[in-house]
Amino acid sequence: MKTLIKLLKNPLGATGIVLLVFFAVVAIIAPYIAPPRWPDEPFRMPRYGYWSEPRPPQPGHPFGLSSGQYDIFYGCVWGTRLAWIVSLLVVGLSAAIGIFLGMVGAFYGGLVDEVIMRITDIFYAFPFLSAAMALAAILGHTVKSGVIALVTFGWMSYARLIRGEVLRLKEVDYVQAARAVGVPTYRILLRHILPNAIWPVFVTATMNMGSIVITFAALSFLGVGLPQDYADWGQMISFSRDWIIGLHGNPLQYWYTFTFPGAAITLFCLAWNLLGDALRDILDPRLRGRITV
Amino acid sequence: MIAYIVRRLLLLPIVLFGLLFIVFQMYNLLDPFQKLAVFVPDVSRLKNVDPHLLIKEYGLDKPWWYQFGRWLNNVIHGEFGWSKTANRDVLDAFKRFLPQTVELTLWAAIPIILGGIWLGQLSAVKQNSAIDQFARVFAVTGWSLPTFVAGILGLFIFYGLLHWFPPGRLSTNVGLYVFTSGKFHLYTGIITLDAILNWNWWVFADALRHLILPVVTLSYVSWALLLRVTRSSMLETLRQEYIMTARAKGLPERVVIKRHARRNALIPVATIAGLTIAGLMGGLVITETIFDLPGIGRWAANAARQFDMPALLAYLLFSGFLIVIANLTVDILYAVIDPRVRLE
Amino acid sequence: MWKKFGFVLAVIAVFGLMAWSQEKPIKNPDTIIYATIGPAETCDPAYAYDTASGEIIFNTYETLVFWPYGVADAKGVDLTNMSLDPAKLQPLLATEWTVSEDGLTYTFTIREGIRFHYVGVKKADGSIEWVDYDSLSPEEEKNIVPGYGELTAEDVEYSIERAMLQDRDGGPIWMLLEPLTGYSSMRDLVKAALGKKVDDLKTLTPEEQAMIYKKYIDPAVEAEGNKVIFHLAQTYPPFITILAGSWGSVLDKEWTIAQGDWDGKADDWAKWWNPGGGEVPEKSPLFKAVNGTGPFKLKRWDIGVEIDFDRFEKYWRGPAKIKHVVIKKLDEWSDRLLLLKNGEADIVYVPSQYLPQVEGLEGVVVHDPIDVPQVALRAMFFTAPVVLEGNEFIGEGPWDGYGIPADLFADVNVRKAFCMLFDYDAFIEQVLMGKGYKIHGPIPKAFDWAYKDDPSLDWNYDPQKAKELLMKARNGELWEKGFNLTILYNQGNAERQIAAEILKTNLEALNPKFRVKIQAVPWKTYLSYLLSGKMPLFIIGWLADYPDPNNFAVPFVASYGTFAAWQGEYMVENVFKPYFDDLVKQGMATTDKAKRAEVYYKIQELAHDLAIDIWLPQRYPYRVMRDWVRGWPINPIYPGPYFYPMYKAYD
Repeated sequence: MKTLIKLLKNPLGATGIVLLVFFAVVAIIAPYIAPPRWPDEPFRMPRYGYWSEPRPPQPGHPFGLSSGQYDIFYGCVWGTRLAWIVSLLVVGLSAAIGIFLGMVGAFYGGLVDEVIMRITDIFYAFPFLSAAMALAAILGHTVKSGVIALVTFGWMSYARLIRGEVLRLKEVDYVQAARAVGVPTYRILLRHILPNAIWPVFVTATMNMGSIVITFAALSFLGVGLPQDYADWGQMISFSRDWIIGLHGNPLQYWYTFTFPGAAITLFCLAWNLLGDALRDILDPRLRGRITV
Repeated sequence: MIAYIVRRLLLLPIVLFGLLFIVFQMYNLLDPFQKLAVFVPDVSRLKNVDPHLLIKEYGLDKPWWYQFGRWLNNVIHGEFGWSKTANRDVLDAFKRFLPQTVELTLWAAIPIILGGIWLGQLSAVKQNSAIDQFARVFAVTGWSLPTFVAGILGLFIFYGLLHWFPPGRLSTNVGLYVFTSGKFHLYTGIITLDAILNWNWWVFADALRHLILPVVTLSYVSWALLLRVTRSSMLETLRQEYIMTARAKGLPERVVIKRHARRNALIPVATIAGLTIAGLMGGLVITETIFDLPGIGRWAANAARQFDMPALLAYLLFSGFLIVIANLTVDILYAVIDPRVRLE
Repeated sequence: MWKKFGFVLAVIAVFGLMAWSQEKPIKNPDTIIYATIGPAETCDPAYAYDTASGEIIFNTYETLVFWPYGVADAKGVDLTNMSLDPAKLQPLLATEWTVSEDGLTYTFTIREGIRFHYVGVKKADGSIEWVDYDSLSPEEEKNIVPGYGELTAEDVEYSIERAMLQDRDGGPIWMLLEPLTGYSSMRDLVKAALGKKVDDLKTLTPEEQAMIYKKYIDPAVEAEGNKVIFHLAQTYPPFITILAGSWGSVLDKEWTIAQGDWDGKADDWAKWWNPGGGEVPEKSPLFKAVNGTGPFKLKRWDIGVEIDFDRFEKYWRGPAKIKHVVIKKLDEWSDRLLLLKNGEADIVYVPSQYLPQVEGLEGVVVHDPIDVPQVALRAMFFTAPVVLEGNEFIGEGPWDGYGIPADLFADVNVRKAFCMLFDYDAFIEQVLMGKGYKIHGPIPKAFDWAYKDDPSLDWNYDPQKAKELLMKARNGELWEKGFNLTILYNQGNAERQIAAEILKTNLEALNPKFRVKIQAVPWKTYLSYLLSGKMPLFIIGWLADYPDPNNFAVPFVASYGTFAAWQGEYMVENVFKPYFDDLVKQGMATTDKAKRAEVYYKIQELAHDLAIDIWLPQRYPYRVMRDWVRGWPINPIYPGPYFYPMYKAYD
């Protein structure tokens, strides 16, 4: 709680939090401000015709219609919800896997640690975007496969981080004492080590929340993303990709096709980065000496 | 130290093998028709041939270890196969595309690192001031902007509206001169470097002009990281006792920073810079696509998407090798510069 | 201080570079730049089967005969000379030709005095060196060895025989083999000749090779003096149109042999058969090496990036007006658009959905004449029965409203109903922006003598009638239970997605129990489902190889045609075989145009009555270019731009 207050006092942190609250609210009230046409498929963007030329904002379509006549407002609103889902899932799962492996390796040391480290090395050696693309291309075009692809090649930094922390904390007095006394391993890990080791991971996680959304959008841009009518910011920017140049007389003719989803992605990512930066500033003493990326 | 290096190098083949193994497993998830797709980009290719015949001929129905073994065998003999997506021999594709990526990486690395460090230092020294906030927001906004949006907008403004910086590697007539006139010798494939070696400033200027926009775009979206690391590292250093001593001694602030703080602060930055460069090589996919630069990033992305196995495997070998060596170099450098670090 | 200085220097440098960039009016006046997509596969005319390769071959090599073109440039469109009528084929490397009464013998007289880009010159030590013909002075030309880089009837004979013997998998040579030998592949030919199936012809013994060559290949094409005689194995009306395709390009025999290709001998041709298995084009010696008689020489082929041509100064019809041609491969539409806008590209490939962005652009001209015939077709194909096993999109198990019955489209009334549920007008209006027209297949409008221009053969959007038919289907069961249909399309293809959506909307509006899902899948999944017969409806486009109705009749309605296998066993056995196979054969049995037309009329009528496919409306062909482009030839059968008559000017 003290942290939260400190965050709010920090101007950058405050901005971040305000933005995130805004996005959270939008995600929650999505069904009310953008009622789905198909109630059991809310992420399917409704379509108002087939023309490929986008149409500007007008009554009924406050953000305009994209190429293919999808409602941009609808896409942005439900895209917010999707952004939350995807980033939380990817970061959550990556962190969970990374933390588990990192902790186990660091704590038990020896062969276990070696093996886990090698596996981490192997996954680190993959070029992230290409590998994620390949896996997403195989698994198909769903949110699930995109999440799996990003998690599969993204858990390693958490593992390394946690491992470093656990190695450091392993030698601390009270941990040594607990071990001597015979406290079971899992308890030591959960009660003593994890709460202290978690902070760098936390900072990293907040930063990643934003960049995951960008990577997800990149997958759409590169053609291995979600189906075309899925409400996803990246998808919407894909639509605008070929219309950014605009017409001769009016270069910014189709500004609305990339401004709204682009702003959404940028602000969402920005919010998390600001939050992460502020968090790091505040937690500084605890992070001192450890460069977290 | 030597033992450490040797140990790390011994891991290289294990890592590479693991990499390839995983990719073959992924490939295995496809059925033979899906594997055929990279050879048949359009149904018209099947006008007069039986797809089953093709599958048998290309060996697509054989088990993964058979295909892995055959590929390994070829590689040992120096044959990396044919890339269907590039329509070139794999090694030929590397020869053609790698210099392009290297060139862009090197040119981009300079402003990214220097700019990032400068911004980070500025922020640290003026901590919490308006400048600090502005610099951080400026950088972070760039970081939050998807590269493809920044790129296309950049093209639109600087080429569409202003006609300054076109996409592509060279202007048409310069390109014709470089590649077909016979008067320009391509030593490395890195055009700017070759232009210098040919003592041809006309080509150099044109090549540079086509690099400005991609480099600026890349810089803008990459500064935040270096800024962040430099800033925190400098802040850390500035708090040290010896800095307080220097200040107490009455040294001008400028000297304090330049002489004492910066050098030590740059240690972690060096590692991040190294990793940034390695990361750039792998992450140029979008930049190369948008600015029409024929590099390996673009080629690799196509190969990944269509499962052009010879290309993908070769690229993974290359990229994996690069990352492992880069990590190792950075770790060693870190240990060399900062005696406090112990290589475990 | 240094930093500031460096900064100022950088700024000056940037502005300096920008100043450099101020351009002149007609950019690159001696060069035509064509920005498009699609990497070329090879320069070998016998190997190439994609239009991108055709772009190269079309401008560097030549054939015996040539289709006359109309012109579409910034000044307007003039189609007076354009034709797809074989009777109007123009002599190119041949000066005249005759066809025997029975249609089995074609005799061509070969033009004299034509040289190739590279000629063989005798050196002092007696060896022969291939040099650039343009670079020779009149003195040096005396050293040219006769026949080395000089067009002879032997060259033509060699070119065709070589092509037939190469017959790579997935290549175009079936078009030469069928008329000349009666078999559609060398494997089939060998099987008939030896009585056994041979998968790898490289295992044939020299004796076997010699026998096959002497019996089938050699007699098919003969050179006598300055004449080339083709002996066909069967009546084949489209034969001469086939010779006009890129696979009919004429090579120089001596030069080709010097590149390491087939030496012309009877007993070792198998070495050059199916190079690279159709997988590795580089295995053909003519992959990158080009020596043709055409108006342009290949200067450089940066695969997948750029193709550079220089004009052939000593071209036999006089040099081209333009000195250089550059074909740039640019996948990103925005990049192509920017190049067009700035005049850095003269001709640009524009996907139809982006036409609004180029219409009205300053300095850019867009032509979309309705009366250029289309030699392509697009349709939605029905599959019956659909393979349900392992079909993740349809679902297995007994049909009871979930999924579809495997033989849904076996019922002709269901097919008819679907044809009536497609809103053709909406498609034309919203997708083709009004610039399209309904068609009925399988014969394209381009073959106007064989196309039955009868509106009753077109389908109309008629939900009422469709409803009646569907209510009766399967004794009312279909209407009662409904179905869950999934239509797949290849992702990235906007028009096909919309076609599917239109069908979906109309089906669902009819009966809420009809549920349709549209799903984008990557190409590999699409191909996989296509080849395994798992898609109840699939959408394919087809481009003509040669302009003759047979080129469409076979794949679309013959039971041995390409699409038949994909449309399922029911369709093959009960629709294609009994109704169409004979007709297709009849269409080829005579060279009498009127008789053939009758056959093709019948085919179209049956195609309508049996509702074999849903024909998608076609767009008017369009061209986009800078306003200084002149002389751009049009003929829909051309694989790409023909640069010879083009130039840049304001007049």
